Amino acid sequence: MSTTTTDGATADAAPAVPEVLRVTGLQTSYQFRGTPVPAVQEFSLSVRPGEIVGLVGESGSGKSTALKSILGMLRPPAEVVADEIVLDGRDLRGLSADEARRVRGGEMSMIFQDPINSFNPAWTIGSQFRRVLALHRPDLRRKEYDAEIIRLLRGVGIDGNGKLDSYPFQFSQGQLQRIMIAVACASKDLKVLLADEPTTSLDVTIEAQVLDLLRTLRAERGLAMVLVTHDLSVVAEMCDKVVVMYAGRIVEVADVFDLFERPQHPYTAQLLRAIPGFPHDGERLYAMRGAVPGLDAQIRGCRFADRCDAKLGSICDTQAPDLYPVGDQGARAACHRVVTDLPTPTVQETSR
Amino acid sequence: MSTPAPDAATALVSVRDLKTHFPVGGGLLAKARGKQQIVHALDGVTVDIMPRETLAVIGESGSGKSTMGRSILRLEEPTSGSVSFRGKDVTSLSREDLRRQRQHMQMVFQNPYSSVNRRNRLVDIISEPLRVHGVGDAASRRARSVELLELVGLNPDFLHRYPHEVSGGQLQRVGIARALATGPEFLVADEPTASLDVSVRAQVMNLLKDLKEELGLTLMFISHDLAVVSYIADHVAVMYLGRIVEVGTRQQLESEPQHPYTRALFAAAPKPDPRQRKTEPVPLGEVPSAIDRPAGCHYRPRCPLAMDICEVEYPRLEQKAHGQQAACHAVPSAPLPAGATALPLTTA
Amino acid sequence: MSTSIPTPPAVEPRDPGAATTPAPASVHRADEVGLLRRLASNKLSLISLIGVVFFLLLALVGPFFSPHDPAALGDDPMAAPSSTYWMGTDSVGRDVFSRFLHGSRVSILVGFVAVVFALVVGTALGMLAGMRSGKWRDSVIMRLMDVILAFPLLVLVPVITGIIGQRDLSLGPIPIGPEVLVAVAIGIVLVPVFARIARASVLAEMREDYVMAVRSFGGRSRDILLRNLLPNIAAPLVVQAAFGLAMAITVEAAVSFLGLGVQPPGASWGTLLADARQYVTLGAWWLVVFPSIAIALFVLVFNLLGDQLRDELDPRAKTAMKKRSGGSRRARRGAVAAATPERVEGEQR
Repeated sequence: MSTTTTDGATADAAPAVPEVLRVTGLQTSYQFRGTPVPAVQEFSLSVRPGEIVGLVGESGSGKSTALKSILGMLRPPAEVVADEIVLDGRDLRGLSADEARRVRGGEMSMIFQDPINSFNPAWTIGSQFRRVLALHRPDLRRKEYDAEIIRLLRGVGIDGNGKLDSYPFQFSQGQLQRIMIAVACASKDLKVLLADEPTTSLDVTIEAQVLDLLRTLRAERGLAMVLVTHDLSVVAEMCDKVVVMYAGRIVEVADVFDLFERPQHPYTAQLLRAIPGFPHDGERLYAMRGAVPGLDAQIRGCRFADRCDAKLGSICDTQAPDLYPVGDQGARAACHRVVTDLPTPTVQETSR
Repeated sequence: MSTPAPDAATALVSVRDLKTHFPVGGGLLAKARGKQQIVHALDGVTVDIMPRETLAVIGESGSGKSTMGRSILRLEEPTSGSVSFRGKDVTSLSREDLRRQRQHMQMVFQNPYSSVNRRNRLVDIISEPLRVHGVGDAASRRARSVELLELVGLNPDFLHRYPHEVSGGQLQRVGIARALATGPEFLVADEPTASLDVSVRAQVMNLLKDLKEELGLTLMFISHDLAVVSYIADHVAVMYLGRIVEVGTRQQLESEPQHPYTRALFAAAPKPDPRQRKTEPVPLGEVPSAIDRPAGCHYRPRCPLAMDICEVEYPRLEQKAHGQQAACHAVPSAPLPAGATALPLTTA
Repeated sequence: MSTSIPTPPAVEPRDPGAATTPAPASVHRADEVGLLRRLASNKLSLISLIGVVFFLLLALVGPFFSPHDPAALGDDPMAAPSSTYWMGTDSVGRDVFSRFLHGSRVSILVGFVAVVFALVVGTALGMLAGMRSGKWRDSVIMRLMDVILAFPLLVLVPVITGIIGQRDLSLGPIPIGPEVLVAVAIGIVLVPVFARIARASVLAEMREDYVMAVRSFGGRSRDILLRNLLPNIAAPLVVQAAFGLAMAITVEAAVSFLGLGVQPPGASWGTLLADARQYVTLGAWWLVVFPSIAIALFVLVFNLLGDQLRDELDPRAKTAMKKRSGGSRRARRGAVAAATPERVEGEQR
């Protein structure tokens, strides 16, 4: 049903383009009072070069955990298992600690929500930056570092001249976020940028600047990005493809236009309805009932069943839906409606 | 009624040239030498809030929007200016009178977990204002807590739970219930939905809107989220570096924003629709520090319309074309429509 | 088994703003009900609890079991431990066991009085300072604490007893013995420890909105201080009280050993040791060993208790240990670490 007429920006290039990052069967558990609690289950993701994939969900959806698991940043007692985490043809799970360190920040790096806590306040920006270059830029000689740093900072719109000896507190939050992006993109081999709520702590005008910068980076360097966010507006603004998570699982994967126009999973549909528009049209805002279930909640059926407006019946309470394919463009949705061929919930309920 | 507040007499809350400055840095020595730096968190705000209306205050961090809310409630001591509530000057109240006055003007905080004492059960949290004001006995306060819980849509079983046993959205409802305990007329809500999940945010916003209607509340709603403001506000004030740069009805601001900052703010906000991706240029620069503000108009360094006069003179907040008021030299002011008066800027 | 209710573990930082506030992982009452039970379920804690009970019994009822009058001069000086004199006798023939039982009461009493004094005064001062951080009240209180800390313990305690002592004092009808004076002197020395902890805890709590919330609905200062702040800062103070007891006991012993604390003929662990000083070389080991063991055990037990209490009560230690969101904190620390692996700890504020 999804005959997607994508326009150029969507990068829905020939499916032959191999993905630069492929994750399947990822499962991450944390320890809570001695028992493992699954935070992410049956997670998979594929990202093609130059593609921005949005990973959206509310708190407790496991989106940040999934991202950190991919980069190998979780340590015991958190437990990460996966069928594969393949970056550019190489499975990261088998790497030695040293190799993994070169991949992190070399081929795949991450930026974080809070730029202030991501820098060490006691060291200058220049010294922190130089250390990164020492690790990931073997092509440079030591005396070339500063020139390169200034070049990289210019790339994120910051005039670094005379500022390399400044400490993090001497920069604004928005500047630090851009510096962090420059640090993350310092490596020439960078293929995938993982961004964990990169604009959540920023003001609207600064957010716009940072998002613009990320778009520019994608265009200039062909970077693939995974953008974790809770903000559907940011997804609409940035992403080509969207993965929606709920309570630790993927509930929907779709092209961004399809997602906003024809959401397949009731959760996505209800989430979209719950966002107030701007300007507001005077309608009463739709509010989803209930709250996200806890990770340790014992749920037999669909995890969204008790909040779902389009529940089918007892099957939703007894049987967890698989992530069924929707159409032939790689879209998927974890809802029994997909296989029972019922109309999607947002489409007015016309009788079958 | 189109502009907020032609006259202070009918306003429930009337704010006149309110300033709140914070000294920063330096120890006793710097103080003695007068070398302390000053943060002009709130720098001369004049606004009236009409009974049963919602004034939304929007702005980025550092704009002084939270300071404004707190200064009106005197949770921060204003440096100068006045706030009157039903014609009574709140800024000159004695400590005990102010304490009593607080029953009529309450606050809802941004972070529900931070704004309640995590060791208290919800019943104690909700009834604490009553206890503090010596209202009723324990049993009647408890009964009132049940009423309040029901008012905010929570089951009375919640009374004996602890804050960590309920979700963020539920706890924010508790925060609202607590604020309503003493039956206030005026509520300042400081980003009450900013820390909530999207799916829960709508519940809390609808609740606030319903309560406002049901109880006839007057609301000051502080937010950075335009969509949220658009949903709840009657009037909107846009703040930048401690001052209101534009104020008017929601419709006026949304349809014809006048101040270049308001325009930039509206343009910058991402829309939840991939077909409306940004085409306009992204606003430049960052909010300057409130210690070392640009001379003249504070927005000048970022402003696409900046003129020579902007460097020397801070523009007055005046009536502009669509009825709202804006503080900008570059936007021509409009003749006042018959019957309307401009907001007094200097008089009390 | 804890009585706490399993709630959704705060595994991921709650999204937008709440990410800055760790989910309330701190202690709550439901947990405290089970505190003793939980302490008892841990071997080390159990040992320390048994030790505490032992010392409390020793202080409370010990003297009733003394076989001899602790002050009565006997006719068998310097006798080694035997069935008559379980811990031997001293140079003037007094029964060491009886003196030990009475001395234990004095030492432990001095310790408790000192700590209670320091806890109450220190907490009050620290909270008052913390409420007005940066203002003159804070400066005055904390500089005063610095002054106390600047003196070595062993010098300050005798100086204080010298100043307030040497007089017969009474609190109404109750005469205040010289032991209480020593206790108060030790307490004064310990005040800064509690004041600093209380101030730091209050400063941390003041960052939470609930303090402003209480003010916003018309709470008085006492509502804020007593009903809201005090329960929330109690945990680290209780922990410190356990360590403080161990410290008070050693200070008392040291000061009395030097002859500047509890005065003869009164007995305490310190004076017992002081009396034994000249006879140790003559082979009278029993004079030294028993009070020494008592002091060492007491210090051990209360330090152990403090450690265990800290694990159970102190929210920071607790979250650090049980932080099942294990990843998130470390991962954040690793932020630039994605690029700079050798970042130093401690940027987490």
